[in-house]
This record gives sequence, structure tokens and C-alpha cells, in this order.
Amino acid sequence: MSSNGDQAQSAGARLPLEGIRVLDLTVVWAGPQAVTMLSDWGAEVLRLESRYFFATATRGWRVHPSREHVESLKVWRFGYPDWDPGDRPWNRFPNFQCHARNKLSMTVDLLRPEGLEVLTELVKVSDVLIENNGPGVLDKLGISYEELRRIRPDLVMVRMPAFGLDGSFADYRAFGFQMEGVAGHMSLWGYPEFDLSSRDNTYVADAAGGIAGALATVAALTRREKTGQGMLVELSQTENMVPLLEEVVLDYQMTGRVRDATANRERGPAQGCYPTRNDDRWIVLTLATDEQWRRLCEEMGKPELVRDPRFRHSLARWRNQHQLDEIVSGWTISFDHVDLMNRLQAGDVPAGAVLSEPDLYADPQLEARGFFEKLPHADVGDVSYPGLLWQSAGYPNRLKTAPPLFGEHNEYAYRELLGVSDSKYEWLVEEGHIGMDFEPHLE
Amino acid sequence: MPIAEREASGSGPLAGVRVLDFSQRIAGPYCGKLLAQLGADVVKAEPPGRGDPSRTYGPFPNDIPHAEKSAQFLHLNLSKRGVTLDLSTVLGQRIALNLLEESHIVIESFKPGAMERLGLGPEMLRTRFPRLIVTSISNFGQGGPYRDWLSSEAITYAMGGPMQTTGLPEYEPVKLGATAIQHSAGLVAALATLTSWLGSLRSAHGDHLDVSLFETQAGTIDRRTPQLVAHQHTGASFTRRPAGSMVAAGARPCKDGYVIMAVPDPSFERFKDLVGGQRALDDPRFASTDDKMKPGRADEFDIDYLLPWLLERTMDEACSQAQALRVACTPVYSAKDLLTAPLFRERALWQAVTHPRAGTFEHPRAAFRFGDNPPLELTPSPTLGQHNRDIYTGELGMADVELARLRRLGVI
Repeated sequence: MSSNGDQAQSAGARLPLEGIRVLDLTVVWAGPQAVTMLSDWGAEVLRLESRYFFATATRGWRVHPSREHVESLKVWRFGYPDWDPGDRPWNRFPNFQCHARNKLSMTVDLLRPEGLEVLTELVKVSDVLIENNGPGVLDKLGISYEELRRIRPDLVMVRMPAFGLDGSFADYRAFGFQMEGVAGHMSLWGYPEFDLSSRDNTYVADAAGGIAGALATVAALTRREKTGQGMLVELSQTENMVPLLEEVVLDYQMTGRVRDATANRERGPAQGCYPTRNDDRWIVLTLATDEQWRRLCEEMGKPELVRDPRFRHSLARWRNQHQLDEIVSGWTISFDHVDLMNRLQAGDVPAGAVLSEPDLYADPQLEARGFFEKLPHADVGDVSYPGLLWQSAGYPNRLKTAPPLFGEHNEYAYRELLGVSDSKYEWLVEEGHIGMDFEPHLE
Repeated sequence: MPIAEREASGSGPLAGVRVLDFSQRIAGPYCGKLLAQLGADVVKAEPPGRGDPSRTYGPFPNDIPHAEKSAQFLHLNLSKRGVTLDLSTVLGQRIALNLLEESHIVIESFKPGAMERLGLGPEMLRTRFPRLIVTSISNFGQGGPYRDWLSSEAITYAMGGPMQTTGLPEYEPVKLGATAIQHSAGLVAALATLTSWLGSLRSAHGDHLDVSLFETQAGTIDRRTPQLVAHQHTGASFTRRPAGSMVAAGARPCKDGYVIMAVPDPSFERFKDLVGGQRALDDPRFASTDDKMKPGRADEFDIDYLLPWLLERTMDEACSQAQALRVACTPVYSAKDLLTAPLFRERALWQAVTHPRAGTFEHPRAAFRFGDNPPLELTPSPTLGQHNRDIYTGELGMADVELARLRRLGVI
């Protein structure tokens, strides 16, 4: 773990987003990731959660998963700590655990008038409200930018719809892996010999949407810093994915070619993913130059291959990749995947092992950079969390707090932030707005 | 033009912000493009002669290579202005410092340590320009044992990303489509840059940002971070699994293509009703949501209900009928579909941009909309050295003879 945080404190340096308060109405995946990017860099993020509504895939698949359900999760491996959901499974869900550091959690039922009143009071003391709920959810709650700007004229409200707030898909529900299909990504990866039904879910659109949601938020705050004005920001997550693949759309326009999956083949360099000595452990080689090929031949102890006409120049290697694959995989199969990566990189051959989770936790580069950071969590114990996405010399930084327990910061939000009286607080508890568990009728 | 005047003339949240973009290939240029789409004035500086290597990447119109017609370059440098500058010469370095005098942000993607060797090291720059944001983008970061390692799109994904879980169990892991990983890193770099830029407006100090592509993948929510945390929780290690191991999970064929459905527990009854009616609702094999994940049930449901329903419908029909019942169902598009789909036409995603050498092509506008402002109009990527005169003469005030001399010396 780095000591950056201590330096930051002693130098009195602030984080770039310190002093900005974000009301977080996000669910599932991309929205929460956007908010993580804000909380990591100093914004105070307050998740508004409801004891009466369990948003699928946000704090779990179910409130109290059955024994049978937990067993079936073993196939998918996304289980609870020690395969035990515990008394409060919603605090132990890995898909929440992995993004929620540095955030606060309060509970309120926005479907009731006094809940909306709480939101109104919070908006008065906040800078940003961000959401990525399904179509119609905000309307149902009676929340709109037009209303909120009356309460707080310089509010930045960020909405992250799947396809856009207008257009023929505006009312379509979709998870991130579905956006990948619409944005054209699913058509581009996988094995050319199998059809699309062979392809499992990927979540690049969620990941990119999360980053872009934060980018749009910070851009609007930058504007506000100069003009004093807030605004409504819309980010279509699917449209955000399209430019990542733009080369392919241009390829169609330029040549009429509609690209399909190519497994690990690349246009240009010879490239493959090869087996190693260890079960299901692999290594990727990308041979872009003649020099890299020459060095690989030396490493393989087959210098004569350099003069082999099948592989003499890059076009020849590209054309004869199946033959090249046979030679290379016959060699890689004798080595440990990480050892071989170290050896080839030491010899200036571009090689990367397909690193597993334990490999990453033991990785010397991530260790040297202090990427993983251990934080204590009341319901889970000590967890080594994947850390910050970039390093900053001007704002030395590290993770601060573990993912919040459901409702952990009710006292702070209601008493300190809103100045709610003791009797009102008690009443809100009795009415079920404030609590640290879900209503028993939810299943 | 002085900064204040530029500010008045531009629009977009970053109007008036000058970015000097030394970066090459994909991640850095995409970072610069995003800042340009937010309204920043981005000046791309390329080495004279060859320019950015992405000018050789292609694809090219009719597959004929040409430095001004590479698809990858044409899209990554939209809305930027371009100059040439040889940073390996003392004169070039002096001009770079003059350009930096007028800049708020500089992006670079050289090998770690190269900026120092060019006399433009980030620490020196920050001392000289205390409010400057320097964004360094590299494969593994500016320090650490892998600092000088080589990488590629697939290698970055293999090491940092969830490649172990991409593909089928009996086959080798596969990379993702096109250059999605490097573009994603460009997004992270743009966010890092903008975050520190906002910080600088409030604190009046600059920054040096160190973005490692490896870390953008080790920290991606595309399966990697949940898998890492789940591994901490249970010791489980993830690998590739067969697609469609849960009822309705994965892409399925229909009459004219494929759709993807998502059936979380709350919509399971509606979904059964949609594709199988009362027969499916009454079928004891699929009575509870736990049945969705039991071995073999996905195939049984496919054969008895889902595929017969889908194969009688087009993508559009299946999606609109399912969505009317609040069942998430969406089409799978190819590159060609992207250009023709009404969805994107209605939203005016595509803009035809005419490049003086390459011709006219449709490019997607920025995905973010600020208030009622339409997205900024894209302008074509610069030809090599296109804005040398505008910037060196018009802005730095060099005489024509000086420009001619620099050209003769190969500095520009």
C-alpha cells in the first residue's frame, strides 16, 4: 500500500472534487461506476437507497437468497463471502463490493411524499444528482430536472439512459450486455466458426459508460465553475460505445466489408493465444516486427526459422499463422505462463500471460504501484480492493472507506446534513424510511 | 488568439481550454478527441514526414494505403487542429515550450522517460508552468518493473482484463472487438485530465497524471473487479463458461438476425407468458425462478418455447413485443446495421464529415448532451501539418521566412 494518503494530509492538499456533494440514485453497474470515479477523487457521494425496493443486480439478485440459489451461484462463481449470504446479504454482494468504496449510504422511500421532501431538502445542499434507472422510474417518482432546478438552480443533473431519453428505444429496458449487441460489439469478438449464441456476456459498454458518465458530470461542473449555471446532462450509454468501434464502421463505408469475429487474429501483426504448462493458463504473443520474430526464434532455440520463407516477413507470417501457431504452441506448452511472460519480455518480445485473479494479486507491477488497497468492512472483514484508475502527482490519493453498509450513514445524512430533530428522526424510523435492512415482505 | 478571446468564441463545456496533444496511436488520441468534443481547442503535434503511426493502421478506402486516409487516424483526430513538430531537435523543443505557454493541458503517450530525454519532463514542465495539466498515457505506467515492457491491444487485455473469462471453455481465451481496450483507456485518461482540470480551476495548481493501460483493465467493471473481489470472498477463480447456461441468457436467433434477452427474477412470469403463454406458465419445470439456472433447463426452454417464438419474428417484432410487456429484449447489430438503424438516425448520431483528401464519411457525434445545446459539429481530422501556418505564424507570430527555415531544417 502506498503512503500517498499520509503525504496528502501532511501537505494539506485537497482532492480535485472535494466540496462537491453528489446525490446518487444509480443502480446496477454503469451508474454506480460513474459515481465511484467522483467519490474516488474527493466528491461526497450519498447513495439514496430504499428499504421497499430491491433493484435487481445492485445489492444482490435477491434480498434473502435461498440455499438453492446460493448453490446455483457456484456455477457462476459470483458468490457471497464463503458462499454464505449472512444476515445482511446486501452488504456482501461482490458486484456491489467492487465499486462502492468511498461512498455513503442512506435510506429513504421516495415513493411517499415525506420521502420526496427529504430528497428536496438534500438537493438544496447538493451539487449533482445522477441516475441510470430504467425508463419511467423517475417519472413514477415525480422527479424531473424542471422541478429540481427550481429548488437548486445550479444543480447538475446527469442521466445515463441505455439508448437515449428520446428515440424509438427510449422506453426499452436493457442491461449493459444488451447494449453491447446494439452498439455492434457482440458481432466483433469470439470465434469465427461459431455463431453469436456462443458468446457470453461482456460489459465493456457498462465500463465505458461509467467512465463517460463521470466525464460528462465533471465537464458540466467545469462549466458551472465558470458560469454558475447548472444543467441537465444526458449520456446514451449505447452511443458512447459506438466510437470505441468506429474503425469497423469506417471499414464498412470504405470497403463494403462487414467485419466478423476473428478470435485473436489482428489486421497486421501475427498474433495468437497459446497454451502453457499450467491447466487453462495461456499466453498472448503479438509479433509486429521482423526483429521481434527473430528474437522469438532465438528464445525458442530455432534460429533457422528466421530464414524460413513461410515466416520471413510480416505478411508471410500473417498468411501462415496456423503453421506459426503450431510451432509456437509446441514450445509455450512447456512453460509456466508467468515465467514465460517474464522471459519473453526480458528479451523484448511482446508477450502477456492471461492473468488470473491470484496472478493479479501477486503481480509485481501492481504491487509496486500500490494498486490494491486493503480496507476493513464490518460485514465482510478485510478485503483487498482493486484501487484507483490513475495516479496523480498533484493530488496524492488512496482509497478511504470500504463499501457502505445499507443505511450506514443515516445519522449523518438526516441529523448532520439536514438537521432533522430527534423526534422527526424517530418518526422516520417508525415510518420505515430509516433502517439498515429491507422490509421483510420483499423477497 | 489570446485565451480570453478564444473562450468567447467557442462553445461546449471546455470552450477556451487549449490542449496540446503529443500523443500517438489510439488511447492518447482518443483522450484528445473527447476533450475536443467537449469544446476544447486541441492542437495535435505530429512528427514531420511520417506523422502519427495510426496513419498507417487503416483500413483504407478500397484497401489502398494512404497516410491521409487511414480510418483509425481519421476518427481519432476529429475536431483537432494539426501541426508538425520534431521534438528530437533543440529548435523543436523550444517551439514546444512556446506552444505550452499557450496551453492548459498537454497529453503525451511516449515511452516512459522519453519526455525527460526531450527536455520536456513533466516535473520540469510543472515547475515552469505551475497550472499545467500533464497527462501521460502508457502501457504499464511511468514506473515499476514493467515500465519498459511491450504491449498490444490483446496483451493489455490478457494481463489486465477479464480475458480468462472471454470465450468458450474448450478453446483458447479471445480478445474483445476492434480496439475497445485502448479506446476505453482513452476515456479514463480524458476523465483523469478533466478531473484535475476542474481541480486546477479551484486550487490553481496543475498536475501530472499517470494513466496505465494495464491498470485501466485491472480496474474495469467489465467482469474484472467483481471477479477480483469475489475471489477474495470465496477463493474461486473464474474461467470461460458455455454461453446460455441460464434460461434466455445470451444471444438467440430470430427470423432476420439475433436478439439478446434479459430475464431477471421480477420479469420471469411476464417473460414466460410472452413466449409460451399459459402452457409455459403452468410448466412445472420452470415454476420458480430457481429453475432458470438448473442444468439443462435453458436448452429445454429454448426448444419448447423460446426458439419457436423467436423464429417467427423479426428482430424488430420480437423486441417491440417483448418490451411492450417490460421484458428486456434488444437487437444485435453489425457495423452495417449501425449506419442504417432508425434508432441512431432519429437521434442524429451520425454526421457526414468531408475530409479534403479521404472523402466523406459518417462519424458518430459525442454521446453526451449538455442541456439544450446540440452536440458540437465535428470537423475533419487534420492533414499532416495542415495548421502549421495558422498556429506558428498566426498564433506564435513567426515570420514566413522563419517558417520556411524550420521546414527546410525538417523541424516542421
